[in-house]
Amino acid sequence: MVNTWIIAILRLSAPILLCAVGSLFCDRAGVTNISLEGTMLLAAFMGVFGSYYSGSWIIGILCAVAAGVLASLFFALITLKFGGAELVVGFTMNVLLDGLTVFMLRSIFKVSGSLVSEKVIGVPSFTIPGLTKIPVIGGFVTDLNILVVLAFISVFLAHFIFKRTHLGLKVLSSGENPQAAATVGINVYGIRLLALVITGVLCGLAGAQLSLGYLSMFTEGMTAGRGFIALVAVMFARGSSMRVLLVTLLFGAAEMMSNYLQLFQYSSYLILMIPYLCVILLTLLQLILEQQGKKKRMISAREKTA
Amino acid sequence: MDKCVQMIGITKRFGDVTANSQVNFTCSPGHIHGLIGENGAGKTTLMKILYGMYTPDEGEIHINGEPVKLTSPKTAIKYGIGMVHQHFTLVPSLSVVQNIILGRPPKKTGDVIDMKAAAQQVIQMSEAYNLKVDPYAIVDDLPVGIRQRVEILKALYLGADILILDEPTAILTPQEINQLFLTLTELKNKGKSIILITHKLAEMMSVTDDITILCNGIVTGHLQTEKTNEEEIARMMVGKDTKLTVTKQDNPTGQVKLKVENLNYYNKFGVKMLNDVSFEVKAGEIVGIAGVQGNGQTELIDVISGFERDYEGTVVINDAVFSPSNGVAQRRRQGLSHIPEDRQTRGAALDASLLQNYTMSNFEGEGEKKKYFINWGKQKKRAERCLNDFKVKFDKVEIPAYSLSGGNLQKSIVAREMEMGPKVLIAAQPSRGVDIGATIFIHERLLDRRGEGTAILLVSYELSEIMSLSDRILVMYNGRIIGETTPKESTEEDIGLLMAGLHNSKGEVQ
Repeated sequence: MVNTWIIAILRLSAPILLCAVGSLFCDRAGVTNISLEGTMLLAAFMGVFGSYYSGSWIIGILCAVAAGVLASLFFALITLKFGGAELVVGFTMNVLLDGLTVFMLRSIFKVSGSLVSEKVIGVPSFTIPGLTKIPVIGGFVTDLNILVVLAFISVFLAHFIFKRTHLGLKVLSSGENPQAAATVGINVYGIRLLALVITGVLCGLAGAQLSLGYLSMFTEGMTAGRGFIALVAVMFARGSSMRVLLVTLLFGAAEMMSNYLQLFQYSSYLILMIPYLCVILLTLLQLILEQQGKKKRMISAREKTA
Repeated sequence: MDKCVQMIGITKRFGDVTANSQVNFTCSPGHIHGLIGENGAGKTTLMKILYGMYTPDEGEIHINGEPVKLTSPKTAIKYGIGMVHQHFTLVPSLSVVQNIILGRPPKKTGDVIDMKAAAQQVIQMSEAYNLKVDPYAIVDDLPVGIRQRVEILKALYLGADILILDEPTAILTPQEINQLFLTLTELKNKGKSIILITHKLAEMMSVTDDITILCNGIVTGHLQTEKTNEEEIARMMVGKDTKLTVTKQDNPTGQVKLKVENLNYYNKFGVKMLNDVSFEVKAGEIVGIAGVQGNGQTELIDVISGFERDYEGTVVINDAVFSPSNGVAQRRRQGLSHIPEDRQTRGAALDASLLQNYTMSNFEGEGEKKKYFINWGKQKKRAERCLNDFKVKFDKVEIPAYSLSGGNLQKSIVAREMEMGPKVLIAAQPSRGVDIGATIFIHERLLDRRGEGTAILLVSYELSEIMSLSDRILVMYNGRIIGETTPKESTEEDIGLLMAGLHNSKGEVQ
């Protein structure tokens, strides 16, 4: 039982995690990119598209990543290059890309709602043999796929980049004090562009996980707010990659629970609210904790100087 | 070859405004070179050109005799130029080490930073130049004086031989200023060249070797510090003879206009910031509050003006008693005006126009009924007259407030606050970051108001300002008024002791 839960949580958190790590780069570099939702949706569609026509899930993933990067570059073109307002462009892109995927679904595949086809080859899952029966540990090695593994690698990689590398410092300084970065010769524009491309790649992978990871199908609006949940996870985390991981897993768990509870007689709409309710409760909790922490810090700082 | 910096015929225009016009500037190696001028004289622009942040429209730059094109800070750094900006360019959430090495960290393999080596280098440098810092402290937790050290270390780390400091003393306490000057002298002795931008004459005289004076974008003098005096520099700065202080006549005082009784106030962290504060200010009197910043002055102003309502005690303005439930608007209607400490955040709405800023408080004009609609035509004429009276330099009243220089903006706020003919005026740091000309102008206006019978509460961290304007001086320490004196009875040193919480020898304090 525990193992099935863990498998479900990993599977459900993977797209949010990929998306959140991507968003983390943007956020740290000082770009407010809320177009993750639309970007991920486009990538999910293009993943199915690539897989359908090539018969290869690898091509599918590559198509998804390409779509993610293209969407990010479009965002970069309008905001970084021409100075468009980030929130406006981000919001518009979400609506635009939602419509675009629906349009393409109907004009290319002549279906509405969902595309389910044998021609869509999903990403194969694998199991590390011998460990599956062990409680807890088994859950972490069963029914994995390359994208889930990449998701968890990406978050640790991001942690390492921000803590230990010059690139990480450049991204952090470009976001927090672009002037400081510029005056020591860092190309803030270039760093932000790079951050957006990284976001595009990771959102692409997230989209691929949604449409090719376990389902092998595309449904209109299938991201269902995951892009925004990823944004929220990043805001909670205040720049810490490890907290992004924690919050994302929590969302995964909430989603798993709502899936699980649907088996019983509860209203499914009510249950689908659970992950979002979690967001609001977490926000409150964080506010309370932060205020207390700040109060303590200020008082101790005052005592030290007095 | 004996000059490390030569800037020849530099001209820089921003639209119609010429910030620098045919400026020649040279700096000798191992010297501290002062660049002085009023606000908006073009000092910072000139130095930003030297640091590659602006490209000049005309002119050339030679570094150590070699002609160079400085197109970005990166190239300037390559030629050994470093700059400590007025607004620090540090990343608050990063550590001291991370900030210092940001531009060029020591690396292990690939892009991975060698943090140990980095910290080692920072510690070595901080010892070599006697600039003490905790390498692992987070910058956000550090006081400004230490942050400035981090900035200097950062420039030195990047290999600066020519170090530009833009108004470094503006945000420092007197002790920190002394420390900074010791550091600068130390750096000079180690062979660094330093360019110090300031508009404060006294510090210019005390630490520099050479001085260049800018006035309205034009160089009006190159001097050697030891061969000149403050008056000569001041004359070149403003282009005419100016007296440096205002003269104050005795003034008859009238009824009590502002009275506070037993004010107690705890801030939101439960720290007691005002401790049983009582005093009164009479019509035609200037009462100065002296004290080191952070001893309750800000809280006192906020409580009297009605910004902070969570206090105990009474405030009486023009015979009306105010309880904590009465807000800012009620108090202002009773004749209270307030020149706020911080013109950027409280004094003015920076994105709004001068006209809108003026109208914020002078809407209920004299001789008119209280209205719900604004007559912009009338209002515009009124604003223009008011701002012109206060010699604010502006094209038209529709320009946004942020486009004014600091001194001009301050004058516009003073103008607005004096317009209503206040009974009680709180002047908090009225000359903060303002050049000599504007300071004297503002001081004269305050004395005019005093002559007309306004009760003025002056709060300032500059003791000289308190001494030259006040009729009575109250010294604040740790939320309490710990002494009262007058400029005639006490010297700056006496008051300085009180400000530090030490009672003076005359036993005048309780």
